[in-house]
Amino acid sequence: MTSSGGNRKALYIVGGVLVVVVLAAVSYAFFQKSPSGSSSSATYTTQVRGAVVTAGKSAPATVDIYEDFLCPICGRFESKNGADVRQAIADGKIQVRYHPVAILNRATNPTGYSTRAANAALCAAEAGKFADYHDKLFAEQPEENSAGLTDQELVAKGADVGLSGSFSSCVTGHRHNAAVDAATLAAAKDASLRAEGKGFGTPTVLVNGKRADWSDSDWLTSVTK
Amino acid sequence: MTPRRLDLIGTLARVGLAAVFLVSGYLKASDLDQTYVAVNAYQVLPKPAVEVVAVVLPWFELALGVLLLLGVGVRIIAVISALLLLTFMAGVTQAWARGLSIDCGCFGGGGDVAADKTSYGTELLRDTGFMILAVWLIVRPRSLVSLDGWLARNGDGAGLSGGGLQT
Repeated sequence: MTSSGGNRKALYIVGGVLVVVVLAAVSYAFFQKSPSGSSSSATYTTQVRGAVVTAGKSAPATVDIYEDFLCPICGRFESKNGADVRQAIADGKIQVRYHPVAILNRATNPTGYSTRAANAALCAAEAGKFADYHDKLFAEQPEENSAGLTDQELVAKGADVGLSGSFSSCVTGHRHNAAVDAATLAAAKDASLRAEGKGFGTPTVLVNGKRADWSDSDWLTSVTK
Repeated sequence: MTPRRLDLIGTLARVGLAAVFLVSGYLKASDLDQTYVAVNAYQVLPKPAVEVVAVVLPWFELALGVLLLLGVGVRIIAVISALLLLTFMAGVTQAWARGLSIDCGCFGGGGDVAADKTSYGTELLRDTGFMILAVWLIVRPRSLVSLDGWLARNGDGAGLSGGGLQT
């Protein structure tokens, strides 16, 4: 077999196109804001009302974040945006209303991790450690269709960020479970939280009451600029 | 079988495989965060590598699809496709063997699913079908209306172009 001009040209075209595509994708990923992780330790005050944690003081922009602690894409959202959101709250640029909801209760065995995790996060907020605890639950998120975390494990994770005493009894006493489940039902019925033709899902992010596309990496900077 | 008829089969294999990659690449590219979750669910790669694979794979598949559709370098593309499919099948097989319960995320979606919602057998069978298309094109890359054919006619050499076993 002899290699012909046509053959060689084809090889150049193929090689060129594939190299360009791979380099373009990698550099796109590189220039996208790199995942910031839970590296921020900025602090802010929280208030708990019902099953909603209001984080930070009143600010020019209000952001609503609906999350399920078991949802993998929520984990993705947090690893990409968590630290920046935390910083923006601390800087007074945004006020965030965290809505820990439970739409994946069926996806653990035993069921119900989502509600118990949301409850624990509300307990942590009452004890003034919401940010650390919330970030920790997402950073060490159990997988769907696993056992999730037991109440004892949720308490232990709290101890890691300095939570004890009434936090433990709040977690094991499931103090906010009913509020979480009620808030989840209400969210599922709220048409303003849904994309057209779709059901309620997590994460859902609203900026000043309007659904935001957080897969656009500029969503937060366009709010805080 | 006449060469003409073999060319026709080659064309169908080429366009078919192109369609597979264009659709799978498009669905992966249109939800990159979901793709990240899907790749991560295989529990093979460390997070930074998952990050790279999840962002490169969709565009790589789209590029393979476009090149196949154009019919340029069909044999080498078919070899790359076969290697990619082998990698996918290895990924699904290891997930199956380790008792993970995931959706392959082959055409978008993906991630963990309930233990009774896995379909590893079907996924492997489907990949085997795509593999047959790729193998055909490795053995006999000649097809109708391809850039390889055009390059062969307009190239500076005669004879075996497009890696083809010309008959």
